[in-house]
Amino acid sequence: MKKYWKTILISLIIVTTIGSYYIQQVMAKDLSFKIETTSGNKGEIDNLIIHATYQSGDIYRSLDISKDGSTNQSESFIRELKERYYPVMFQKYIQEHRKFMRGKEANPGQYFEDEDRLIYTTFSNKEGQGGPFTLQIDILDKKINESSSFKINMPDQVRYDWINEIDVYVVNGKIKILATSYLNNEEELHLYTVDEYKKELEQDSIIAKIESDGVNSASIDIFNDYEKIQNEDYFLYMVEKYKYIEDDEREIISSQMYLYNNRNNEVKEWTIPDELKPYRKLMILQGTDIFIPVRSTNGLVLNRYNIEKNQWEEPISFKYPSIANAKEKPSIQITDGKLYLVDRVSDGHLFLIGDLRTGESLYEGKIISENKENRDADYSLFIKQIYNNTH
Amino acid sequence: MIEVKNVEKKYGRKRVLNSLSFTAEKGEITCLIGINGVGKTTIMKAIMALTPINSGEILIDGEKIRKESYEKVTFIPDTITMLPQMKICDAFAFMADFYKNWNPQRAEELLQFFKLDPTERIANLSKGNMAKVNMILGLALDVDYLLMDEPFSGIDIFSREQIAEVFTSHLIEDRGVIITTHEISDIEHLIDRAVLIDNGKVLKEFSVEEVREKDGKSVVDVMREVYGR
Amino acid sequence: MKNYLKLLNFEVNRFFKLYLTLIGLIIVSQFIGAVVVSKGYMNDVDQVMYKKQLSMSQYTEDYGLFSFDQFVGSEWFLLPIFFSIAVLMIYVFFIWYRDWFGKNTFIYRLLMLPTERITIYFSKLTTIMLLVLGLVALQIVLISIEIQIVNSIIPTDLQSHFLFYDFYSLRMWGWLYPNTFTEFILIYGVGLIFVAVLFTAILIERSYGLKGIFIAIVYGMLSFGVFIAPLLVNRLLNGYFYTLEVFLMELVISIIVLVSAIWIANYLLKYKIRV
Repeated sequence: MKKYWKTILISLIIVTTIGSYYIQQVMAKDLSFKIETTSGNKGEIDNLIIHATYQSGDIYRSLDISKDGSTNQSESFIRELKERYYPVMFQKYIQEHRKFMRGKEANPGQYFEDEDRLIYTTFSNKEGQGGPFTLQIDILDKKINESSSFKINMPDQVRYDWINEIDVYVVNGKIKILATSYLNNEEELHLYTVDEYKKELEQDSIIAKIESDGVNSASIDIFNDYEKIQNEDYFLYMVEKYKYIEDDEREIISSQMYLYNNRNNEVKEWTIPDELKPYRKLMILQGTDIFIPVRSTNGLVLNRYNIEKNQWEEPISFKYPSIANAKEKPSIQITDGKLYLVDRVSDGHLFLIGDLRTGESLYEGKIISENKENRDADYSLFIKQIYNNTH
Repeated sequence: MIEVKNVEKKYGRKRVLNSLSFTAEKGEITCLIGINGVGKTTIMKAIMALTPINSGEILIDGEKIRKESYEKVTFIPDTITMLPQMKICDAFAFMADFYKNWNPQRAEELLQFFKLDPTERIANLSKGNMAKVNMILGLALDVDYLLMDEPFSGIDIFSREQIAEVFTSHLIEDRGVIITTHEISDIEHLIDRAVLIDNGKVLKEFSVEEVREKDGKSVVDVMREVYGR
Repeated sequence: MKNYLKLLNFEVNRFFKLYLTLIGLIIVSQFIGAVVVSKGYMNDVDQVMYKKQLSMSQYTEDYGLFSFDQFVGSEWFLLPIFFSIAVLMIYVFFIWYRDWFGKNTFIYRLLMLPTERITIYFSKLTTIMLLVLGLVALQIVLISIEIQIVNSIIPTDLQSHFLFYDFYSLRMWGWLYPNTFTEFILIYGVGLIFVAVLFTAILIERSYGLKGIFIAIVYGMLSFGVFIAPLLVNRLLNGYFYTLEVFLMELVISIIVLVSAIWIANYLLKYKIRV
């Protein structure tokens, strides 16, 4: 036994060191967050999962925070395998329609869903950049659980580097695809209309077109809820032309917003009041409302514009002592008629849920670190998504 | 008995062993005789499964070689089979650790007989002493068969005498020994059987004593006849 | 089993002196580096604070905090590690070739031991794994000491909070010190398979000489090809398989590659090896 000491020593050190490293890793409680309710209906947070990234210096960690506390996203290897490429909303689709979802991209902009059907569209140019495109449409009938698909070859002259799909919806029996195409320095906003019975591309209308050449640049921004797969009645987009002057500073040459009505294909120019112009990049369109959030040290003001009534409504404000921090922007998510707000306050993050119809706060709470020592530490919490796990 | 039956071995294009067959009995000293490169070392390695053969059979006491066979047969090549930085006692400890048939007393006896220091490192030994240690590694095992490759090559005359003494002692008596050498004159009086090999084939296999009594010839005489020189 | 342990111990003992040297080098270089980097940082801080008349909190506002990463990225820390990796990689080959070459014909002795010859293969394989994991474990111990060294020179107010277990998020350390124990087993399992395939390739060369080198290379590439087959197939089919499914396929394939390597090695050692 004595002559085995070297081997035994090495083995022992390996087992104890690596063993304790991973045991402590599992037990490490210093990175744990919880939601403390300050006021409102606790039931609001029952099924919510906050996907967040914790950052301190060079350290980044993914966390899921819910009413039960936080879980390190990478704690379960198997879960991480499943979720790394498919965000949570797609987990549900994969569970329910495993065969249909094979080989499909996890981009919500390519899907449409209603009670009866799930439709997936994808543009591909098999021959590489600059080659002709084909549009493939897969339709799943959820009631009888059968799927069908067809391909449309885009006209040969249609050559782009790539096409980025933004939204798919169904109106008057036609499938509409909103997408931006890129070719060299040109960008176009397309609305494609597909007749699914004739299985052909009925129309390709180019709604906006811009060009960039280094100094003079332009952008098309679309302000809809990216995650929403169901039909929206409107979409809002903005075309800006600007020029670069020294040091990445931009000078706006022109900026115009358009409101597109999906039901009757009408476009309307839309202007934003001057005092709200600086906040235009944060606009969100939900249903028939356009929201522009403005944050100050007093809290958040949600300016609303009602599209159907064609007027600005009374803004909704939520008061709280915000720490206006250049590094950490507030996280604002508007889903299903509710506002989900996370913003940095003095000893943690405020978590607020507001009702957009009534303008009332439904829930107020704080996301704080369980480890009291950590509360003043210099860290940031970036919210990726707040997901409602009720389905 | 060790039986070598029709063993063929090719190395590249060259036929190193050409349907070679012979037997070595327990209790006898069999000598493989031939010029350099004729396949003597190769056949010994083949018996010990230290080199593959293309066809043919090698049986030790009627069985093909297995891991247990290494407690029954051992090979003493012309190079030392221990790490150079080991001391002699370390080498012995290694053998004792792995071989059930290692006889530590006999190893001790031989060490004293050869007048070697157990704390000496193998790398520091002279060629003659290294050969002696190598021999102890084989002789101190209670094996039935001993294969020795050129035990006398490059050894000084006094060491040679010592080694030759071992051959006549009780250490060799009941065992089967296969030995290769080209110093035939030195050991002619020790060996029981001679196997003359040329070009990978056995030319003649005979009992030394028989030939001396019947034909009055020495091994060298037979060699001259067979090789034609 | 007993012979396996005896041989394993033997192989470990053979390398031990060199191993201690490597460990010594790592410790010396990293500890000196911890002191040098920390003191260097403090010197800069003191100079700037003096020149511009700043208080400590003013300094951190303008210039940020010291991150432990600055030490982990320095040559003091990294060079001995790369050196050790190089040495161990060479030893993967040398652990076999040393028994054939030089004044050594120790391979005779190994092949004549009354034990299954594959035991030799397993003992050498385990040795390499122990040596690698030993250094991995050592580094964990050293990091905790180095944190103390840095903390004794740089006040914590000037440092960004470093959680010991955040080590994995620094650069490529995520590969050596993965987040979960499952991943640890998987990553080092792949390393084991890699060494096993290399060993078998070495045995192919030792059994067939010059043409053996070509066969060995072909074998190596074949093993690699089979290993990445599930990933390639999935890419060809445009992501038809879900990640979990690809993972399970990979698991099965890895086991196949490992078992083949061992089976071929066993065959070669028994019937084809030459001294």
